[in-house]
Amino acid sequence: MSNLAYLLAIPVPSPTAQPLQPFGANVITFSFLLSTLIWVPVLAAIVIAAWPNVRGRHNRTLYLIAFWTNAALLLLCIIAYSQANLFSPNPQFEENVPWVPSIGAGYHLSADGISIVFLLLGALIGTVAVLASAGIKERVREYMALLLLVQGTVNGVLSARDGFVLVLFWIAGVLPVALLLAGWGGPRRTVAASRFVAYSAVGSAALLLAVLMLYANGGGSSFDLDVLFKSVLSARTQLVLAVLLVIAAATRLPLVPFHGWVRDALAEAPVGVAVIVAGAMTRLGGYVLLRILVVGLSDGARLVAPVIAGLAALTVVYAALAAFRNDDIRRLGAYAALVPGGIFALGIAGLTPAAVLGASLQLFSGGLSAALVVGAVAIVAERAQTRSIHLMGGLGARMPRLAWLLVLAGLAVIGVPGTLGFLSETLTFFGSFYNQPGASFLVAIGIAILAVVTAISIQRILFGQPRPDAPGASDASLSEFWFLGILAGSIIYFGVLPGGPKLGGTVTLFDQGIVNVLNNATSDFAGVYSPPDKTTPAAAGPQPSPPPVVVPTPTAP
Amino acid sequence: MKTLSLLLPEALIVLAGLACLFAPRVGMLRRQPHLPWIVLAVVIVALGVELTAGAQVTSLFHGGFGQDRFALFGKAAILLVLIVVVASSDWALLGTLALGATLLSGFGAMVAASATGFTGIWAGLALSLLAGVLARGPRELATSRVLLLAAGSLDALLLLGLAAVYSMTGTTVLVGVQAALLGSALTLPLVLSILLVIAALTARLGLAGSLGPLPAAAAGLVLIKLAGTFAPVAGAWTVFVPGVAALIMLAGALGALAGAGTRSLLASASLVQLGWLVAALAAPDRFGLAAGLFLLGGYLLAVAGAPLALGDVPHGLAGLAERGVGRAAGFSLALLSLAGVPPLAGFFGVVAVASQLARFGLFWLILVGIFSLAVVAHATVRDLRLIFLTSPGEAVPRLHHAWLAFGGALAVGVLIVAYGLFANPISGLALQGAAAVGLR
Repeated sequence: MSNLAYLLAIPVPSPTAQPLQPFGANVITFSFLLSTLIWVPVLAAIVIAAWPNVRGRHNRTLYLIAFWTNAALLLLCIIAYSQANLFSPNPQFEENVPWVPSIGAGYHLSADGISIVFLLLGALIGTVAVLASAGIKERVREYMALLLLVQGTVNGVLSARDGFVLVLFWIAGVLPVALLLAGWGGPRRTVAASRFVAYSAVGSAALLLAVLMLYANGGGSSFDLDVLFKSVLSARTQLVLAVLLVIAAATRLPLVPFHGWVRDALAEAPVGVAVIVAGAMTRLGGYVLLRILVVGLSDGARLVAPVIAGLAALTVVYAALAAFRNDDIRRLGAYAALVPGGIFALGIAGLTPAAVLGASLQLFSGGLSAALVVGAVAIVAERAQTRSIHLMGGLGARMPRLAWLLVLAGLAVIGVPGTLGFLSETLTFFGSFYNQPGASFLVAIGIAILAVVTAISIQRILFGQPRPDAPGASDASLSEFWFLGILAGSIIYFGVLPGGPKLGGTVTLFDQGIVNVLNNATSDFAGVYSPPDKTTPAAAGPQPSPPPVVVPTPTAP
Repeated sequence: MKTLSLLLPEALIVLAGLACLFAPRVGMLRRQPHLPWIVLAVVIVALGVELTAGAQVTSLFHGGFGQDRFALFGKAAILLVLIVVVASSDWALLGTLALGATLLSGFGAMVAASATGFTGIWAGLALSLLAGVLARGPRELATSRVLLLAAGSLDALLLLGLAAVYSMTGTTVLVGVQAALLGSALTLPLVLSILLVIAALTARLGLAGSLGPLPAAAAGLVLIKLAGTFAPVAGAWTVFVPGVAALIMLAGALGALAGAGTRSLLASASLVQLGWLVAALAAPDRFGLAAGLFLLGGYLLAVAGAPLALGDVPHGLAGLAERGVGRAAGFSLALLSLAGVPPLAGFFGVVAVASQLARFGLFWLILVGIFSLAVVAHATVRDLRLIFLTSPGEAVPRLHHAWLAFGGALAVGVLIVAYGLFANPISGLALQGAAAVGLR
């Protein structure tokens, strides 16, 4: 792994036996940070919903409240990410109070390396989604309130350490998104909302059943995930649980054949909603797979790994082929946004420490790239006044800023060097090939097809001959440029400096390195999936598990 | 004196009810616009007294009236429902007779909640039913007659079942019945009698949408109380419960799919929640019935609040949020709670019951329940879209409402949210309530 990291040019300091606390650790000491991240957006949503807004006179104020709420959350997440002791195995910012004691459900929240990274992603996407919603002029009050509710529920899922709380926020996020789709979507908005609710119902049912099965097997006394993971489960139970979790995750990520909602939802949704759904909501499916299946049900994970690998291959190949025969640019973006989920699933199916790390990184980078691609195609469609690729051509000259961003979005989804997708996809492929060579090959084929589709589409949209019958086109507005620019900048920043901006082994001041944090967090549990070491002769009897993947932790100067 | 303070909530409610019924007939309180406010204050005081003095565990009237945690939970839930009903209804339109009858219906439900024997239970149920029918009688005479006939027949069946149980156990006192059943052999007459009682009460609960929440509260509390009493022979009747619960849930889901309007959706959602309540009986231990009791509280709040918060909408639901934000919020939250959407009361109740069904391995029933709720939630999106995301049009006037009704509609929403957020003391009390029925 260290060789691999070297090849990937990740700045890997020598691992230390005792990881040092990063600079500024434990600065945030108040114990309700996670509650703040969950309930402040909800309170802001209530304030916005109750704000008198006759004839839209206060649209700007409501927009600003939503924006600054999300910006404050982002700042809080950056501080938390930077200053939490994420190299410690102990959970951070923990809150645990009884909630429904008669059934053993508690309000148990905490953050570790994985969740804090995804909280950061969620806050970034939330801020960007509000920026992307600057063009909303109708029923701004309701729109912003619902957008903030989505943000609160996303943070709730990412912070939950109790099965009850997890299910609560998982389901609670469905209705606001459905209403956003139904209220502000395109011509097929009713279909989009209906499908989203229907698929979400399937996923929610599967997740609730899985949590209840864990609860019943744990003696029916606690929903606490830490307690539930300690219960002894038979292989059959683990298999059933794993299948349920895969269904739940597949409806959100989504994976084929549970993807029926995504095309309409991402293609019909207003830009801000498409961004938050692609960048944050869909990530929750992968997060649950990582958090419950990989961490808590190792036997179940092994049993369903071939199925997940099959779904991953199917998803990527399907998305690439569907994008190929598509003329609607927004649907093209929707199909492209399926790909990061498929690659993540491959990593989960790979079940080696490198694959799990790759999958975690892919979940993060996929959120950024999926949000960028659906956002960019939506803005291009708006600015070009058509969704038909057939009618587009030569737009690069008329929208130079958007052209760059669209190209970057395509490259980010494919995972070219310089973007975070490159690192995550490489780690995923290298890590998965050991256990899932066939699926890895198929996924690679799918990405190759998508690369061809992307190249052809970009050529037709941006550099082809302008059509005389095409409507007029203009470049991105300032807010549109900002929201796409933030996403693109993040993809490049994390792609170029995945290990954080360390210079000459100095102490990191504000970024511990996304790859370091995730690596450290995943190595806590991914060690059980280490493949046997083939370089040493086979010895009789069971081999001790090799140490987990090398953890590139920050070092002292 | 301290013991007598236990009866103060009942006394306040019955006195207020009788005053509303008879004072206008003798020339008092005839034109008293503040009467609903006064009644509301009385009910709030009664709730406060119940929550403080009701913490005692004792009995009165030679054991006929029992004050335990079950009674405390039940009466607190009834008083909360009364607050919602009094605050959300348009009494200027309904009149003092309806107000008085509503209070008496609540009193009947409280009697049923505190009763320790068949006699008190039946008396409470009957009073609650009659007063509930009387509350709506003058406005809808024909419907009231039908309802009275249907619910009266069910009560008769219930009485028949209770009499049969008495004949086989030799006592009408619940503790005695439970003790007698503990060692008794399962005979067909006994099983049939118990099934008759449970079926009659379930059907009475099914009339909640028509009869109103207070008779439903009485029936629900009695159902759980008797399920606890019959727990020693649970094997005889719990085999039928999952099937019945599933049928009720699916009927609700089918109703929501048919989608014939908001009132119909409310009825369907209410039916699905009722199915979950019945499903709780399939787990006839302390935790299962506590979950049922917890669900019942949230169910009653939502089923009472939703239609009242909605009120009359002559121009339909379109743009209701712009015309009357309090009513829109109250109604939407109540409807969402019935659809089991988190973080509202209904969701907490459903998960509480589901967790107990999971302990008993009834995953198929959970799946049916989730499917039914999903169908209802899907239909709910349609109404919410109309309420919040559709323009009412220029010609449609704003809804003019009394402050009490506006506050009542908002209170519905607040209570439904608070029920879930403060589930800690509430569900704990429900657990103690189930233990008070004599369950382990």
